[in-house]
Order: sequence, then C-alpha cells, then structure tokens
Amino acid sequence: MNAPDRRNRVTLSIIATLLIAAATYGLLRSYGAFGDAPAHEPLLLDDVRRWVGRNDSWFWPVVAIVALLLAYLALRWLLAELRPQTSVRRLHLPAPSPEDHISVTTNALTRAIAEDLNREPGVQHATVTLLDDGHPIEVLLDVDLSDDTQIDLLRDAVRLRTLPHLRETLERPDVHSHIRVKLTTPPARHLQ
Amino acid sequence: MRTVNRIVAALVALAFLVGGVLVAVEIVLGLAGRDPWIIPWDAWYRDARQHDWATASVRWLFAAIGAAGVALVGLQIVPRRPATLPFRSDNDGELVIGRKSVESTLARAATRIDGVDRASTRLGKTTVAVKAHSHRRDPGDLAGVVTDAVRNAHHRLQPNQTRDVRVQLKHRNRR
Repeated sequence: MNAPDRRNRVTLSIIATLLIAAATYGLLRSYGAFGDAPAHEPLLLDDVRRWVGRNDSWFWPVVAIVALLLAYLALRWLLAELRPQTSVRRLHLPAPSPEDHISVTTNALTRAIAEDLNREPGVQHATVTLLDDGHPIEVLLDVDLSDDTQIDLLRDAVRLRTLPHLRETLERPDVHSHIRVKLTTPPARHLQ
Repeated sequence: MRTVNRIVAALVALAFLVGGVLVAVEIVLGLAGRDPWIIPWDAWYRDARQHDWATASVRWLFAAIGAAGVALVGLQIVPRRPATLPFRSDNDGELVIGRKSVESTLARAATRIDGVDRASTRLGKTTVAVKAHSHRRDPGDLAGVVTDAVRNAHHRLQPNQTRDVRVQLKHRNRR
C-alpha cells in the first residue's frame, strides 16, 4: 500500500469510527438504554445550552478557529489527493564552500533523462520525477514498455546509463531509483 | 476499490473544507448580529431544543450517521489487490510493474493463439486465472496450449513470485 492509500485509509477509518460512535450513542439514548428520562430530554441539552451561554465570549471564537483549522487540514488532504506525487522542483547541489549555494531547477534535468530513456529499446514513453533530494536522492521513473521487451533490458539501461548519467550531472553518488513499469501493446509493424 | 476510496476521500475532504469555512463565516456573522448566510443555524437551534432524543426524525438522523460510518469502514476493510507487482530489487533501486498491465499482457498472450477469440486474466498471489473464449466446437487441447502460452509470458516477465496458471475455456457446444 502506498502513502496516499495509507493516509486515506487511516483518516477515513478515524472519521468512520467517530460517526459510528456518535450514532451508537444517539440510538442507544433515543431507545432508552440510559433510562427513560434521558431519552425524552431535548436534543440540545439544557446543561450544554446554559454552559455555552455562560462562556460564549470565548466559546464561539474557539469553535470558529477549530473549524478553520479543520478546513485547512481538509484543504491539504484534498490537494494531496489531486496531486498524489509530490516532486522536487529545485535541487541543492554540493557547493565548494559553506558560503556558496548552488541549486538547479529539476525540469530540464528530468526531461533530458526521460528523453534518454525514450530512446531505449521497447520504451514507448517515459517520465522522470525527482521525489526526494535528501540522502539518497530518490528518483521515480515511470516507463511504458512494450510487452515484447525483456524487463532486464530496461533494468540494464537504467543501471548502466540513466543512473550514472544522473550521478555525474548531480555530482552525487547516492541516487536511488524507483522504476514503475506499465506494459503496453507493442507498436504495430507494417510490411512494405 | 483504491480509486473509489480516493474519490470518497476527496469528497470527504471537500465537505470538511466547505463545512469548516461555512461554520467560521456563520459564527463571525452571528457574533456581528447578522442573519444566517447559508447554514440555517437558528432553525437548527430551535429544532434541537424542541425535539427530544426519542423523536423519529432524530433516530433517522443517527441511523443515517451510523450507516455512513459503517459504509466508510466497509470501504476500508475491503481487501485490495496490489496496484503494482514487485520485481527483483538491487542496490540501485527497485522495479515494479503495474498489475493491470501484466494482466493485459498475459491476456494478449492467450488471444494470440489460433482459436482463442478473447481472454481475460486475473493475477492472484500464487495463481493466474485465465478465462478464454473459443468459437471452436471441438477445442481439443486448446486449454493446454493457452496454459503454456500464459505460463511462458508470465515467466518472461521474471516476477519475484511463481504462479500456477489455471485456464477456464468456454467454447461453442457441439450439436
């Protein structure tokens, strides 16, 4: 299970548990499991109403802040759903001295690596995403590969050409690859 | 199922986002002495004071909340087949192949056989289940040929896991 799936399952399970707990309490109370009197009290309990009335100078502002916090978390969750693969846009490279800072945008680099991969036998389409610029640098290679191509050819291409090229360009030996292959129908061959 | 869960997650997130902003706006409007904007909280407040816990509408509300919770839990515990299959990893990294694309590849291997009209495959942990259809009245050993073709295609992919190939062949009935 990948990270977005795990996050969805955990979050939705927590929400579901809260819903079931609230529903169970409400139904038990409404059917008199806690006695006849609690079942016939108003839904908005007088004690609760009076307590909120006594504390309304701070209660409602706090509720508003909590609601906005929930909305912010929900926005982040929603954006994570819409953009499940976060990528590194700018990469910091080793500098000759601590005062210097060298960084490169990753677009041109990932495009060049993808173009190299597209020239490998059987590769129909490749995209490259830099996932993490830590130690090691994590790179995701999404490759559409003709299903009549040996997988080992792709592995060798990545191991012998793509990764050395990346390491040389980035001047970093620690580049780790995640190759995600989608097998596709080989292109039609036409006899002339 | 993974896609359904992502859609549900996006809808729940959207509901929390919209709901959270609306609640905050309504509270600010209420503190400023303004009427409700979208959430009819004054009517809800009246209802909550008038209805007791044993009211039918309240019971239905809790039943609906419970049903939503059970549906969400159900969605989380449905077993999911992995989206990708792991292949050999080494020090340089790992390689995975999309499960559906492997199933399509194996199905294509089956349909390339003369006599097979269409085929579908389903990859399990230890098996490849193949459903093949043939127009032949007498398929002979077609099932065996399909089994060999799918097994070879699977073997060519060099997966981590070996799998038994089980073929279910449907063909035209003899008259």
